[in-house]
Amino acid sequence: MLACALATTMVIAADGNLTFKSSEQETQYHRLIEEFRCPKCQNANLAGSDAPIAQDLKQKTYELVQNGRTDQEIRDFMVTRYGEFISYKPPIKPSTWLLWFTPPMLLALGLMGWLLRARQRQGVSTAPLSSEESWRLKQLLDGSSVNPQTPQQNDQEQPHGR
Amino acid sequence: MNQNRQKFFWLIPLLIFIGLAVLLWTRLGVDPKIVPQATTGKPFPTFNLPSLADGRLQTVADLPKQPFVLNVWGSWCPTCAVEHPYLMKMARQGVILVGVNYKDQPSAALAYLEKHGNPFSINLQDSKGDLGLDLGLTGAPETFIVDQHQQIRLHVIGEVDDSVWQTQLKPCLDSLKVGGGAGCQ
Repeated sequence: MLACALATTMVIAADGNLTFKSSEQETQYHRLIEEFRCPKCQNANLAGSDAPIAQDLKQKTYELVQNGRTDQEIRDFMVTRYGEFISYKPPIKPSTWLLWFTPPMLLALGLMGWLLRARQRQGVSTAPLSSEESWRLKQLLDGSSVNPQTPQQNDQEQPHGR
Repeated sequence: MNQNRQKFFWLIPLLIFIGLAVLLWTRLGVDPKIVPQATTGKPFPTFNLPSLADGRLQTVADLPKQPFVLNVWGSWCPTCAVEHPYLMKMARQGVILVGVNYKDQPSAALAYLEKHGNPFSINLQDSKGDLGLDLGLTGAPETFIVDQHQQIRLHVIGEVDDSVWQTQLKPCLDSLKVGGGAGCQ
């Protein structure tokens, strides 16, 4: 209980004592600052960046959330100023196809290769036995019913083997 | 048939390797920093900001009616102080410079200009950083070129020096004077 209270205080303190009208708005704010990338530091999202511009953009996100804007409206606001670059969740369109579809395509290729390979192996094992092989198989099976692990017997039965 | 297929499978890793090699090779030596250029090619954002000199409110209508260079600066910004002498040189050569005094104290900004010289024809006081946001700013200093139709044509991040002037700003301004803008990229 105490830990929980402490954690909440810390979150509020980190955001400069932001207050929200509803818990939905609070979740929306946190979801968005997780999603937006800091344009200055490039490898951090807004939530994780202390760059001045990230502070500004967080503040702006907060204001827009307070004004009751939807996720899409806030995203559009950011994208018109900073481009698709701002979002860690870029929309699917021709210029981002490579980004979105390469990993699943590689996975599909891998699976296809694996399936082909497996089928190939299966093909080898179900090929009909030559007369020599069926004879040897018969010998082995007959022998195994008497004494399955006798190597001598195997040796004896190998005259036709390679 | 089976043999051919086998050969083909051996080719896949090789092809992937070649693809990756080409991809990585083309990116070698390229600046990895992505410059957000979302506002380039768009009209100058509307604003209503006091001028630093006399506090009178300025709007888009007060911007110069010919191509100009807009520089975002602050007295708190070390790189701005580094590029300042170059801005002074540009102003002496007749380049029209508009300043955006970004998130600064007016008194500190005025003292800075007093000390280092004032290359700007107007200075907008963007104390909250709203104009900066609308310009797609990532920090200071950043420099823009705005054409006679008040459209943003170029966005340069970081210090302006001789090489930036020669390779980016000057070609853009020259081509805007002719009426094209082909030199702005």
